[in-house]
Amino acid sequence: MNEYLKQYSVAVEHPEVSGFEHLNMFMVRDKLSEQELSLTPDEKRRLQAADQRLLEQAAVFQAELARITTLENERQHRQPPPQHWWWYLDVLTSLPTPLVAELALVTA
Amino acid sequence: MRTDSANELLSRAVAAIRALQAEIRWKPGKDIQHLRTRQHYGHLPRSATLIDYEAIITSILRDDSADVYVYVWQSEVIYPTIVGSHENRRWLVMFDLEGVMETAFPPTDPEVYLSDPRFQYLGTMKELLA
Repeated sequence: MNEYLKQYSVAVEHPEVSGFEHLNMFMVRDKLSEQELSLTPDEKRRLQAADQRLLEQAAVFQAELARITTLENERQHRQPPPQHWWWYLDVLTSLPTPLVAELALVTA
Repeated sequence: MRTDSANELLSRAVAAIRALQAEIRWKPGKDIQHLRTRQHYGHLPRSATLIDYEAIITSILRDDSADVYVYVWQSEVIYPTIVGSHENRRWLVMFDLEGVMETAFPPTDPEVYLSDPRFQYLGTMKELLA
């Protein structure tokens, strides 16, 4: 399996570990986005499942990140494109739950 | 020349390092949580114990050649960070100024991770603790 995908799939299962590790997870997700076209169908399915897991637990990830930074600050610093939605988890957690669920379905 | 606040920060960071060199402290329940995470990633074998994990942390904290950074965000969020090697990987040992562990993990790309301007380089452990 793609090494970045392996790491990302583990990272989304540990929302309470540390915001510092979540920043690393987002950087891994950036790397994965560069490689999405070369992923196998099975890897794409696994990536979708991991993305969905991240969205489902967005509030927990966001809470841990808030101890060390804000995602607004990260966006100012890193300038991620809008397609890199993981850098916008704070925006997503402020949306009504049905909209987030809908986004999870879109990414899946 | 360092300002008074920089000297104060340095002094507190050194005290936190010395406290952790003597004893690894975690927030309640976090030690096992972090061990399980390291095992899940494959950073540590499934058979590893908390003693094994803390031995890695201690070896980095006692390595004279390890690099010392401090993560500072908005002057209030401050985490000393020791960067050392274990089995050909660069690990970050991060803790607060009270000497309580935040995390210890090998980032995917340590160079890129530490290029974040919030990480300020202070020197090696030997230089800092001299």
